[in-house]
Amino acid sequence: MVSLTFFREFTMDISANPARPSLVGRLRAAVEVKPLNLKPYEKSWLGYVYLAPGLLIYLVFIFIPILNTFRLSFHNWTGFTEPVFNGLDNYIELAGNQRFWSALFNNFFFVIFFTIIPILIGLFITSLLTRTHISGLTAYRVGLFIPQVMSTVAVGIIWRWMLNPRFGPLNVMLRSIGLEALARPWLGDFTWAPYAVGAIGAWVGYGFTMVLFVAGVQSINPELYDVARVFGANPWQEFRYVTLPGLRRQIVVAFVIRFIAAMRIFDLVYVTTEGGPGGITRVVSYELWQNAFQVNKAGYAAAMAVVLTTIILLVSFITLRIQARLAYDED
Amino acid sequence: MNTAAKPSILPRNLSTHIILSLFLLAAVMPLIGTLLTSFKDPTDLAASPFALPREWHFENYEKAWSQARFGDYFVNSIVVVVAVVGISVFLTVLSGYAMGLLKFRGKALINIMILVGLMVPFEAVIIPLWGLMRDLKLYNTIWSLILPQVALSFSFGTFWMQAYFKGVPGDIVDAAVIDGCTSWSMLWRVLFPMAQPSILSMVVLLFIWTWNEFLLVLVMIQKDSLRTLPVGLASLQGRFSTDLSLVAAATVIVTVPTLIVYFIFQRQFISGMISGALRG
Amino acid sequence: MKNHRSLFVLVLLGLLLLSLGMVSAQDNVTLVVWDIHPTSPQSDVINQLNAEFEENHPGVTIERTAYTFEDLKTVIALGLSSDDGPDVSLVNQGFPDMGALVAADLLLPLDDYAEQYGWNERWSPGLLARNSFSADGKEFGTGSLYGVSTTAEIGGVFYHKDMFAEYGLEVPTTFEEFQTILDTFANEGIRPFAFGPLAGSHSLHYFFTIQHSLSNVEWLDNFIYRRGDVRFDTPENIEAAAILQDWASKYFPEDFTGLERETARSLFYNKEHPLMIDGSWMGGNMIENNLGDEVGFFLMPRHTDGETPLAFGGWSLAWAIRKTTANPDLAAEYLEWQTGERAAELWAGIGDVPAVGLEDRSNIQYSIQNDILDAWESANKTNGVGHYLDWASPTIYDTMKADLELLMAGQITPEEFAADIQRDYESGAPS
Repeated sequence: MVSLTFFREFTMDISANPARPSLVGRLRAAVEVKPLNLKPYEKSWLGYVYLAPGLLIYLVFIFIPILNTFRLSFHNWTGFTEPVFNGLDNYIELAGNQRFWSALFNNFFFVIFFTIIPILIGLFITSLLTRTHISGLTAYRVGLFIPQVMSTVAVGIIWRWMLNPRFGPLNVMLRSIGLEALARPWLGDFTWAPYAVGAIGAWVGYGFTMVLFVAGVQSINPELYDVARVFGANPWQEFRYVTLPGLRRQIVVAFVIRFIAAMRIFDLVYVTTEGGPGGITRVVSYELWQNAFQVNKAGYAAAMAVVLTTIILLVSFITLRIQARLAYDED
Repeated sequence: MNTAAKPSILPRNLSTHIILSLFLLAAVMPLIGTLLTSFKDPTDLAASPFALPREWHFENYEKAWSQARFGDYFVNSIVVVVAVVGISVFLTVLSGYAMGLLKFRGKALINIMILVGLMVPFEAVIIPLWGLMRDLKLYNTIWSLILPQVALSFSFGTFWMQAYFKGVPGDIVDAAVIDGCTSWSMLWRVLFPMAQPSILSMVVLLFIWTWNEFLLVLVMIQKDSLRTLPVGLASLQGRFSTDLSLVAAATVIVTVPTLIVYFIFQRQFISGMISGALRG
Repeated sequence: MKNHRSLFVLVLLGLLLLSLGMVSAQDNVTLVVWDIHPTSPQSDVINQLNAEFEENHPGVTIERTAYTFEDLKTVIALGLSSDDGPDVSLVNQGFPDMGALVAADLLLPLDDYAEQYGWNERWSPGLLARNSFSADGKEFGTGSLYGVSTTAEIGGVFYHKDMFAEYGLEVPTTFEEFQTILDTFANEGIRPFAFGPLAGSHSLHYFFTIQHSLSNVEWLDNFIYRRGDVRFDTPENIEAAAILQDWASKYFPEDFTGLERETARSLFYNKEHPLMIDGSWMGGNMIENNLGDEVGFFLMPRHTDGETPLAFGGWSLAWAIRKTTANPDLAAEYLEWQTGERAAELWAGIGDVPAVGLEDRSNIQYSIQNDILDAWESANKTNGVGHYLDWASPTIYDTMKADLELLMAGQITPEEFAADIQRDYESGAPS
């Protein structure tokens, strides 16, 4: 059996794959490639030739810039002049900047909406689907996935209209059912704007988690459900002891992906609130963009990029590690 | 099927259907409402948001297309997407083949390097990339959009195609070798045709990601004539003399191409998204 | 077949004659002109003007190239430094564009021609300052004139005439009268202003309008051109902020924080609010929405009685002349033509505001166009064209937008607002 990558494994989820090694194991497998002994006649330099053109573009336009971001974060750089080394100054400024901290806090606040709520909705729907066969599931799946296909800018513009205080369907509906008092200028309201932006994130996210989990359930051994039923498990117990453990990997993947989405919010804030009202929906990527490209503090913005990247990588790895530990304990 | 069991199952299924339908409705209603708004007159907006337009105003699209330059943006988007996807497919078929089937030193290291591109957010690339593009005199050209997105697609596509090539049954390769195929002809004559489904999924994913890219275009392109659709849409709000129905029409123009591709290839997209989701 | 051949010969012969004609025309003058109007209807205006100019100047051929705004910015320096470059070109204002070209000694100072054609009388000093630089390109808004502009924009108040009539109101001439109008509507339970500050610049334009009604041209010029020891936290600016705060609680829509500018416009079209502050560029949009005669436009009156209005605004790219042109006099004549009365007529015809104003209004169809032209002409005559204050520093747009939101929500005081903008202004100073 050839070793499979990370991604191949995910593909196989949908086509019912009973053997599921831990994520970290798979990550490692993806990295530790076992060479194949298929073609003794192949000269080893051929591999480099095939790889070279793409790898060159990748190195120049992605890999080296990543290293440069790290380097520039220790420099005073306007984006136009020669970078001047300034040690940890950018990081010190960052640590003392209240705007940055509130932006970072907002990103974590948005995790609730972009990440946690979609996972809960996804689990709820999935629990409804485990015991019964639903006809037309494909149609639901296709429809629910639509927000994943749309440009975030379009999503933002559409929701600006949805939440428009006068013409927006939400307030129109509230007024028509006599709940006028609940109508708000959602995106411009000092209390509600963060929730409104968050709700848009939840809307984008839940189709993804639902489809991911429903696909995952199909790979759970049906015998487990039969056994549960023989033992007289009620729907909650069935969910708790069969579905939930069976979906652990999908939940972790959903968490990591949606967590990254929450940390990287940019387009949505750019088109809905521009960080307002009064800066209460500012997020790190927006601050980064402004500092780097509007205010000519590119070195400082690079430090922001490093912090953002570190948080994303750290949380992703910790989550994957915990999942791997749990899977190990189970075995 | 078991018709006897149906009556007892129906109520439960019905409630599930209702709940699913509600979520489905929530997912598609905003889009439908926008579509309706795009045909309305600005003075017709006060009516119920989901009411049909009093009169169908197709000129909102005409205005968006020519006056607001969405025709130009559309062409730019198509050019960028076709170039990025075309170049990426060619490069990643090569690299995936090398990584998946060929034997050479340093493969593990290269894999880690490529993995970095998948794990690190684009925010960690964009600042030096901006400087690089200016140094290369590519800033404010279509290449400043194509090259970075080819590079981004390369890291994803290499993993994707590598997985495919690793899964190729050994006896097919053996047979090709016995037939005297060179590695080049084996790739394009034998393996490439077999890889079509896998490549198609990748094409659909890359199409939609590239179509929707925002930050890169926002940073690299200052010329209005080179903007792609999402950035054109975002800049529409700041411009003078726009109204909500024009904005809605523009939103539809941005969204419809991805929706068409999605509806045709939904199976590939959904399975691809789930399996390749880490790029997000 | 034979027919085709003879036709071909004929065409060839025609082309030959044509090229002969072109060769002989080389004795005459060719004026190379670059502009930024590649699309209709602006392009048609330029073509029409060029054709008429050629007609009036036998022997002169205009060789026109229309770039996009962005493309022109990239090619202009190279073009102006070569001998076959444009004799006349549109040039963007400000340090990176006109300033750099002046510093590189590529533009012809127009002071003599200004005298000859009376440009100094035609346009207010505040406008001419925008096209002026010191000879080294280091000081903006002073020194020699390097260009003249065709069209203009100005911020003011749009209002529904019938709603004014309904309550017996008239166009105000003092700020006090304006205040009375606001209160009249407010007392009737109508929030007077259509206002949409969400994700956009509407709140800035409202603030500029109030601020200009209290401020003066000297302070504005000093602030924008960073002359002298100018500060933002003046009593006038604090008062302006206080007025905006007051308006927010009494005269803006209750849900204004969630409205974007497009929504505000729709609400104004629907007559849910009688007034809206916006720019002259909205005139065409009003006409498109069948409000060309229903809606009027006026400039915000001053707080001090008897003073003429001061409104934020500006004018379009400047027509400038290459320093090394062989035909400076002809080029200057072309500038005069492009900014003169005939040009004004054509630009007004497509809904633009000619910077020179418009004497002959016989072709004007809608009253809103007349209102806007009147407003511009009077502001130009009385040096009443101010500035977009967010030009003063790269960060000031963002700072002011966030601070205005806080101010309107009552979360900061007018004093805190002014102090914060002052901080931003200081930090944005070029080092």
